[in-house]
Amino acid sequence: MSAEVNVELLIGRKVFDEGGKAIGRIEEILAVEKGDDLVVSEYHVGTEGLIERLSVYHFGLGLLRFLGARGHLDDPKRIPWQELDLSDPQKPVWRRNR
Amino acid sequence: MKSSLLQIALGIITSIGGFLEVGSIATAAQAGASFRYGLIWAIVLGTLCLVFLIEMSGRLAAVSEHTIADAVRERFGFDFAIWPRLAELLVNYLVLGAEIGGVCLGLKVLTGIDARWWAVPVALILWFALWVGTLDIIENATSILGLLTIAFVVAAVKMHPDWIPLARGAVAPVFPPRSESGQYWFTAVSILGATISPYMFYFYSSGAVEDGWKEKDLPANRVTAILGMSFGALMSIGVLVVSAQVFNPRGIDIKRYEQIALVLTPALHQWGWPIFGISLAVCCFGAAVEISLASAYSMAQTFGWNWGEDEKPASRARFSLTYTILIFLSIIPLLLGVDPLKQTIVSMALTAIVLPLAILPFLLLLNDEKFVGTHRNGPIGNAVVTFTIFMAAIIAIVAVPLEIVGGG
Amino acid sequence: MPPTHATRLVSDVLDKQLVQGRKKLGKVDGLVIVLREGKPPRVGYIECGTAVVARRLGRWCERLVLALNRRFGVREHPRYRIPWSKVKEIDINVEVELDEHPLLAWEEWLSKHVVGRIPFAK
Repeated sequence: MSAEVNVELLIGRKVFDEGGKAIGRIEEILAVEKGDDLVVSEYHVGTEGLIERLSVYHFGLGLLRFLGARGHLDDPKRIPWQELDLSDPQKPVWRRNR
Repeated sequence: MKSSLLQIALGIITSIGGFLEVGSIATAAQAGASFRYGLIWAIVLGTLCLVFLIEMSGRLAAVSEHTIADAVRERFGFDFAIWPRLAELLVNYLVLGAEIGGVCLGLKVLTGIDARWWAVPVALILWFALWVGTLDIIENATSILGLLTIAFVVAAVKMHPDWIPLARGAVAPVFPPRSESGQYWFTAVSILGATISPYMFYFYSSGAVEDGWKEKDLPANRVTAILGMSFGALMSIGVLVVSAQVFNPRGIDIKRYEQIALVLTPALHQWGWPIFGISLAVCCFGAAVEISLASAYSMAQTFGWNWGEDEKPASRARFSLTYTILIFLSIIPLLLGVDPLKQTIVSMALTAIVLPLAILPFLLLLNDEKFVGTHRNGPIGNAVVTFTIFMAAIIAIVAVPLEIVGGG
Repeated sequence: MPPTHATRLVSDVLDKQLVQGRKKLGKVDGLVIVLREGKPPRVGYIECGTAVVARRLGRWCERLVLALNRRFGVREHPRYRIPWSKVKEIDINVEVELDEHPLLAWEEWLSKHVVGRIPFAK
């Protein structure tokens, strides 16, 4: 298997668990250097959509609260690279025990 | 290297071109005629917000060497950036048509030749100025000619306004009788829409990047924002006050631009008419320059094309084509006989609708260390932006219903 | 454990300004990761081009750009790829080191066929 996936198209895609339930959307992808390569280490799946990108944690969080947002905004779920099945990039699946 | 004095010229053109333009002349004149000094506060309030936003546009550009449109794409992504920019492009199209209409009306006042005949020549001159001119040349020429608008302030003082009610009108709303409150608030919204124009942020920050501003230019940036915008506001208040002196006692409502043209005659006699014509033409031309460039800047920066007014068009092909196409398309409504005053008023209301999305990014970008390092917004700056976003959002929601109630 | 020296592909790379020295080369329109069996996906290429941004708006938009591209023969490869190894530094911009700049194909085509034919353009 050597498929290519476009990050810009992956962002905002819904991630499903093995039961077919949507768990959130891909917000961020972390990569680390390994030898000469930069390789993906984990995916951030957030329930708040694009919030991580807008880095609401610093400023916007206050604004959202000010606007009347209740409760707390969840930290994004971190999924290690080996647990996200991207064989169909249109429909990423979270496989916990791979 | 450019002197700070020259840099401040950029602010002056931004104030003349962006501030006193067809929209603010029309709304200020209407406000003065209908409500005497009762809406000066709207100009003052709008200007205060604008001073902060312009200062921030310049600060972002000086510290990061990135413009507002650049930063929005880079920080929030293409998918977020593209839709507000396209909406603004549509609004800019209408506003540009209104400004070119303003130039044509100014020329009509001077020559008596119908505005429609001027549309094509004015569009050609505008395009040619951008095509061959550099930012400096256009800036300086327009700012020097724009100084003529001091005539409005001179006329306002010569007409001996009542200073105490005038000062009161500048700090708080003077509520009109109930039957007129729809029109009162609609005019207030139009003034705010005409004052806080998104294209000014794109123009100003792009100009700052083209001129190579650095951190050391921050004090000059601050002075420019405050002085330039205040200068523009003073002229705008001048228009309002002369209109209040001339039209309000006679109970004249302004329905056509030709009426506004009479505004300087009582104070400046035979000079009033031609000075009004020249001022209108120059201000609107300056605004048309800014809107054309701002549209091309923001498209180029959102897509990542080469851009720059100081370069030859051939090396900035897509940038130059954007303003070329926009300018020539924008005169279509004018040629079809759409009333320029109506187009102005509608486009001011539409500006108000796109405003919140244009200002929202300021809150995040000007607090982002990656872009502004240690020069982040202070609490006052953030409070003003937040206030402006709320105000803009309310205006966006009420602009359309108010237009139906008060504008018709 | 979150990795300490992680690069955030969305916040730090995607959509950033591409530069080589003082020269601006457009934005990071797209970013390709290569999936590998049993190994973590490798960051492969930066993609640039109108067709790349167009695809982010929808397939129809991409098809339109590709059709225009074919019609006028503007560029050989509508998606220009920069291998990740050419990336030198990531800060507010993404600094790359390229030997040629075919990124500006549309710019050059328009310049030659449209803008350059209008007087005073050069």
